[in-house]
Amino acid sequence: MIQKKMLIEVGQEKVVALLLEDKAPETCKMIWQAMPLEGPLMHAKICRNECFFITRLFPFERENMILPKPGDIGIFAWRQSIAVWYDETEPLGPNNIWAKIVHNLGGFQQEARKLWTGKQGTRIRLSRLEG
Amino acid sequence: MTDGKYEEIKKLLKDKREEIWDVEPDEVGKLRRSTGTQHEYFPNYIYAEEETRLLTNIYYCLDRVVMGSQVDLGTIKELTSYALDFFGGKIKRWYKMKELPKLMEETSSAIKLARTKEEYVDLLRELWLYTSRLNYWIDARIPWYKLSRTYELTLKDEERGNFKGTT
Repeated sequence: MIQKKMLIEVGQEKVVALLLEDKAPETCKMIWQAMPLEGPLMHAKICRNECFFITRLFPFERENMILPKPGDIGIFAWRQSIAVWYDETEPLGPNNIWAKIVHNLGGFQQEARKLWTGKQGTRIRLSRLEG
Repeated sequence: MTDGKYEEIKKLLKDKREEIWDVEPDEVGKLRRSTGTQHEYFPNYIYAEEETRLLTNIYYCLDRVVMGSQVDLGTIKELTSYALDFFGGKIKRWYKMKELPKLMEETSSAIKLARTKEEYVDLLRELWLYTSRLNYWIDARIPWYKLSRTYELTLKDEERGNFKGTT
């Protein structure tokens, strides 16, 4: 099976992530069908190196509930938000991890850090990367 | 067939949510200009941010209980209406917000008309999405970094723990 990829455009950066269909099939299916997804990105206030954006999705599958590592992408049920853990962190608990950044995590980190020290709301867009 | 009033409120919530999805609602600007204790702006605003965020967590709990247990629909509808009336009234009185309390009031009435758990959840989720997006707009206007630096100045050296900077 060819692993699906998505393009993440954030600020001036382009990042690629792999969907973890083998570990979170229902979540990946829901998000893949809903793409493109976009919105203003926010920095988390408690978890150290995390940012997120709100979607219109209601994810209720609990799949691949693990502690996030740098580059992991999860989804929160109580805020309809997609979260990216962009650097070393102290996770607050397991999350539904459905994708992982495999190219240009450094670029994502640069944009994410600016959210905290600068203005929140940098646009992020997730789209299917096909072919 | 669902009740006409129920459908009307569900559509209203959806329309209102789409109105604020990409454009900051006037309600946030008004909230920024409203004052609370000692005519201060900040406590009012930060409390409103916290309260709207809390609401999204409460809706999550209600949703999970309804969809994941054998809870009686009548009981959960009563609880929900009570909570919506309580928080809606508080938000209206404390922060002088209008749109959100109005939508909570409408939802409180309409949710009583839900005949199945699915209808209940459909309506709750519309209000939930609206509230999540509204909270985003309120949150986005808070200068968290500057506030963090200011708060840090109030800490004594022994209270600072392992803080090593922002990145």
